[in-house]
Amino acid sequence: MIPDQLDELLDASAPPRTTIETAELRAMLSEAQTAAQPRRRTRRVAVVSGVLGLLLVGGAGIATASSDWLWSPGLENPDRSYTYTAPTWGQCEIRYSGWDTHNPLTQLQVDRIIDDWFASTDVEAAAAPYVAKYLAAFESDQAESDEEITDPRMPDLNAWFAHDQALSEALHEELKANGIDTGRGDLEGAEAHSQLHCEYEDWGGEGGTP
Amino acid sequence: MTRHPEDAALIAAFEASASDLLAYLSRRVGPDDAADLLGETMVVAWRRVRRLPDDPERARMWLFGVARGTLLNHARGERRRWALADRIRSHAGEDLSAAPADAWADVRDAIARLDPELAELVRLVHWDGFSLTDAAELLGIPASTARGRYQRAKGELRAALSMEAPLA
Repeated sequence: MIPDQLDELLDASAPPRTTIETAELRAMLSEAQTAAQPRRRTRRVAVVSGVLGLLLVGGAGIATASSDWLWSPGLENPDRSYTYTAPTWGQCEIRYSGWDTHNPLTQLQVDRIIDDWFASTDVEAAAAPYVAKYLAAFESDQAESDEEITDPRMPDLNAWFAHDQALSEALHEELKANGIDTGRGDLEGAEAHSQLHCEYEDWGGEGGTP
Repeated sequence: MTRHPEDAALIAAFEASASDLLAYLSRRVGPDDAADLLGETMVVAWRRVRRLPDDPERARMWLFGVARGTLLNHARGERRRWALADRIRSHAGEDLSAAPADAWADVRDAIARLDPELAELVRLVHWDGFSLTDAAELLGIPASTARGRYQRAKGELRAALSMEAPLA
């Protein structure tokens, strides 16, 4: 086969490259590795015999206070993870399933957007503007209610609902920014799941098998 | 720093491809921002390290895919300055200023005058060393489309550089 002179020219025309010293590269990789780690103090080890937390379709699942921990099916992968600090339950993690859209083509697109968003975005910072809004709304509703609130879990439950809603809204904004659900009904009938696990959570006997 | 086999594999993959990634990013955003985007590429790669392919060629391809994702975020205005990237930035500046005017400038100019999507395909194949199939995958286009674009690009380059097509 006769070599193509144009191929040779094109190969040779590559601009000179900057050589990155190994020590610099490794230092940068180390810094990046630190930046990539979720900001949580502890993470419990999942065990197969653990207690399964509830998973509510279209809503959020809650965890049990058991130290044996198992994420619900579809949420074992921590890539779609969001962390926050609860008033008394300490460090909490919400894992998010994304959206089941019932449309294979839309699903591929939605999954890619969600994966990219969680991987490349400070999701806690992205949700932060919405957290205060939801928290204020919940607390305002409760303050105006005639019922006396005696549940000691309420501040932690409010925090959970606020962060879960904020995460969903921030993610929805991201999907819209990428052309999803902008009037074509891409997410019509779609379902999302999430599950919560906190360091010192106490569900008072609710939310799973004690 | 290394605690898991995939950690070592990712470090090895970056050591093999970091300069290529920096060159790829520099072409798109210039050397200053490219150093920061290389840092972002590293962060995302660490978050997804368990998805790193075992095969070195696929691992290189995977890193370029991650880098392409950081470029898309960069286009939306998301950026982060990396202190460690300053040294890479300064090296890049030195390398560029030290680079002699070479004989290939007219070829690079001809590539730059192509339609951008044709030019990027030519660069991925001839400067980054990707096969046409892998370049298509990276760009998210069918291989058949890439083949068509590549033939068109080479036809235009031959005309621009006054070169004859080789005999079959």
